Amino acid sequence: MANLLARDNPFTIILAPILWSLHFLVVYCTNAVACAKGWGGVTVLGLGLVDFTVLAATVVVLVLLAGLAGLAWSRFAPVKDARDYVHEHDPELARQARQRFMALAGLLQCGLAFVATAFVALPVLLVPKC
Amino acid sequence: MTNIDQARTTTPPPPGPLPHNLATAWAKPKGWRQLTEVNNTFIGAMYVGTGLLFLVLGGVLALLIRWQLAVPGNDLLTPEQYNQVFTMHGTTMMFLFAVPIVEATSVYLMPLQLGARDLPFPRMSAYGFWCYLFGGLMAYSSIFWWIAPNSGWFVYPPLSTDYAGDYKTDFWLLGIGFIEIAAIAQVVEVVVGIMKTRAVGMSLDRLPIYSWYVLVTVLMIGFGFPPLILGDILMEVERAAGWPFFDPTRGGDPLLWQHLFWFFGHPEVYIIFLPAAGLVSTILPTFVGRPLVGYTWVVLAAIATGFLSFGLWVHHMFTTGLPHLSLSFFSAASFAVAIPTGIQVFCWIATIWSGKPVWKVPFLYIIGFLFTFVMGGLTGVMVAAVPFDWQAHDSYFIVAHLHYVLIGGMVFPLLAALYYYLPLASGRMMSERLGKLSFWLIFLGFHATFFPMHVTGLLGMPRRVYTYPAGFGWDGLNLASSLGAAVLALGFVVFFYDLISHWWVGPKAKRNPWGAGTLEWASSLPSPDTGVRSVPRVTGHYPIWDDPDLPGRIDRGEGLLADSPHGFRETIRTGTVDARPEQILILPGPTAVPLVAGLATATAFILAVFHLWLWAAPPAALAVSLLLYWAWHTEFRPEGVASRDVGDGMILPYYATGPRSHAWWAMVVLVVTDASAYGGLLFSYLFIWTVSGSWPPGGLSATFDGTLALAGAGLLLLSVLPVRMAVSADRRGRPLSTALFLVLASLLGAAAGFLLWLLLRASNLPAAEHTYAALVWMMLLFPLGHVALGMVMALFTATKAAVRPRGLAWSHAVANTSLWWQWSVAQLLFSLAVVLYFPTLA
Repeated sequence: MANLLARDNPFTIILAPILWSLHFLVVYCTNAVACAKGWGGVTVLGLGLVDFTVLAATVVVLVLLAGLAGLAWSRFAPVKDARDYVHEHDPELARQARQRFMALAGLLQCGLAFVATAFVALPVLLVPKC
Repeated sequence: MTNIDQARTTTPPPPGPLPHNLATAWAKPKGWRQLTEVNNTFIGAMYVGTGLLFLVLGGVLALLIRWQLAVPGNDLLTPEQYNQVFTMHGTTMMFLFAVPIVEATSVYLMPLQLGARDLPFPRMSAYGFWCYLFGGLMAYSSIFWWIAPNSGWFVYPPLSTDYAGDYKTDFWLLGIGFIEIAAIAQVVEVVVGIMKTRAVGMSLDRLPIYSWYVLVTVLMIGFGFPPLILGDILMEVERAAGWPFFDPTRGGDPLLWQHLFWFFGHPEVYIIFLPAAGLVSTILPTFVGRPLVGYTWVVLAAIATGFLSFGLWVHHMFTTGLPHLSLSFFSAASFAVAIPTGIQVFCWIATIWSGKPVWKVPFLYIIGFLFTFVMGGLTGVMVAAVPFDWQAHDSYFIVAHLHYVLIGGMVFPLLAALYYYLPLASGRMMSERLGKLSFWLIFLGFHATFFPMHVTGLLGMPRRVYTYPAGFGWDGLNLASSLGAAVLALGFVVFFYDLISHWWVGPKAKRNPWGAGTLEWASSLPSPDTGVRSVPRVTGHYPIWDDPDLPGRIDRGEGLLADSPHGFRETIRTGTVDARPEQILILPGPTAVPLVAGLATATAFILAVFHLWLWAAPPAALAVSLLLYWAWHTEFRPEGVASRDVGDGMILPYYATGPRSHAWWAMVVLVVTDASAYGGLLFSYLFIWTVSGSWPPGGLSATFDGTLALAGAGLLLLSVLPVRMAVSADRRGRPLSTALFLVLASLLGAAAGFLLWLLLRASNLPAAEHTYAALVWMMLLFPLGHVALGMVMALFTATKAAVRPRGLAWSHAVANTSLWWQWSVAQLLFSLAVVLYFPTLA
């Protein structure tokens, strides 16, 4: 099994939006099923089932995204000046430019996924469930 | 003078003649045999041409709509004819024009831009194209006999199931459905092409921006189309065999179709828009003479749009009574997708700002795109708000919005691209004068047609009505829209006149006529059938701007693969991330198989529309035999040649197996795509559970024989072992053991299938009576069909292994059969677990 977090694995770019997708799937399915099956009265730790699931999923995903962003930053910081090496023939400099691109792409994805996840979760505080 | 200015102002000298062996390898057959060519430049050009033909055919229907609605109480079309016309207009534009032409453009352009000689599976592109051409024409022709689909391009049940009448919906399900399958063929082709066949040094950070967009797009097709294909299958089974899935009187739910349709239908909008945005991002830098601003940010936007667009589908269903909070999730995601779209728009504006625009026709169309698309995007943000959508839903406001994003977002960039790229195909320039005329007619005509519709919609005019009474304040607005449509049509007449006539009267194009920096312009015009003359080493996003002498070096054969000593069509396979050269792929030459197989497939499907099963059997058999014949001749390996020097002293092998090979990647992409269809089936099962009171519903009780289930599952698990042993036997060059293991696996698969069939028969579930029963059957039959296909593959591969020369490790076919087999077994076991145990959990 290839290491999904390896520096040169293109998966590092799409892990953040995959986390967003999973979060979206969980919150949508939970609410749809809870409404369809009349689980509105079920409570977990004093919170409604939907509130609890959405909040828990959101916290977990945001923490994971922050972790991914930290990883991406730790890879981006040492090569952040490698922008101009894109044109280099020297394989070592070209590699730095490539890794800078992959780290930055991953970092930007984390930022957007973070905003989008929080934004999707927000209505649970404002909108009636069913 | 910078490199960019130098590259923009110099015309490289004409190239010398090609080496003889390269010219013969890539020579196009003459006369009617041209049709057997599978090269991407030929297939791509035909593909784009066919897409444009359907644009005209869909456009004629649009004009009929506008003619009918020009004045109140018009009787040009009867209500039934009007229903068919607007349904076929939408269907043609979406399925026969927009999606195929974005795939066509990538088939044509991608290899030129990536520095490959062709895409990795040329026969598959050709087969996909011929299926599309024949199937599309047959499906469209239903309108000539007024038996076309008539329930809207989204064919909602029960309108499409109970009220459509004979054949009509079947034309949509079978005629259009199999074109979707052809689209999946291009997904595999293009993903593997971008991942594995690039110029040396074109690492991920140097990938042309268009390729990023197309990669995201085809992956979206791969995830979005299969659930719709599954929906097509369910609805056709409901119509043909009476198994209820969408019929509420027998436990089904019409909303299930809406979910399956829009899970495809919303990403579809971005499937159309993203490649067009990729064209904009490619063409824009040429006309301002500066690189695209924010490459990484644009890549971010393309990928993020791809993901977010799958969280939007319910915003087409805001008025169906779903829970409020669910609507809000989708509303939030619909707002969020404006972020990556905004990033792109600002990157484009910044790019224009950074340089000095040259106001040629392609640039004009791009400005038209920016203006129109931003307007459409803003109304998109409006309808993403649930309360606003409740007011605007199904009104002409939506018609206005969707045409602003689709025509603004896709047709304008496409027209820019045609003006820009046609010199590659024709070697001639289209007219600047006619181009400007067509632009202004199309731009003004478009806004005159669709802007008033915002107001008509807000005044309450619903979509899809065949006429309206006078006095609601809609008359003048509709007349304005119809007059605008006439101007728009006139613009297209000018455009098509220019497009056709330039082939003869257009001035000859000099090399790199626009002064572009991307690799597709490095060759002489029209682009040679070989693609690049020799494969250059790339360092950057704009290879010609980086090195103005690049076209010269390519011509002088200073790149790799400058000749073809063995007379094969060849291209280099490179590493996914770093584009390090790893292998020479031998590509197939001209063959009539894709053409005849495509014609046979289309004929079989169209006969099936009329439920003429016996008549459909011979063409279906012909298509299957041809596909098997084709599969027999894959994995061509030249005798006695294992590798060769491709230049620069680099020696590459002709063969590679496992996760590095293009064949392995193709199968993985196919499995992922198929998994999405299976996900749709699983969703259907769970969705019907949520809308049913008890599970099993309706007083049904299933009796599943536990022993049969256990024995079937055991045999299935066991069958994986010989399949894996077949792969390792093949790698060690033991074809007979390979064949025996594969036969053993097939026998185990057949036995397991038989047991599970008995299980279903004994389960006391009448599929035609209740949705639950129909779903249980489908949950098992779908993976059983996969196992059956796996058996065909295994036996076919076994035969191949048994008769071929010993000692050669030809393991693509075996490895791919193994992947497919394991996926099918996993699917079947999962289905079995769900069908047996979910009712007890629920």
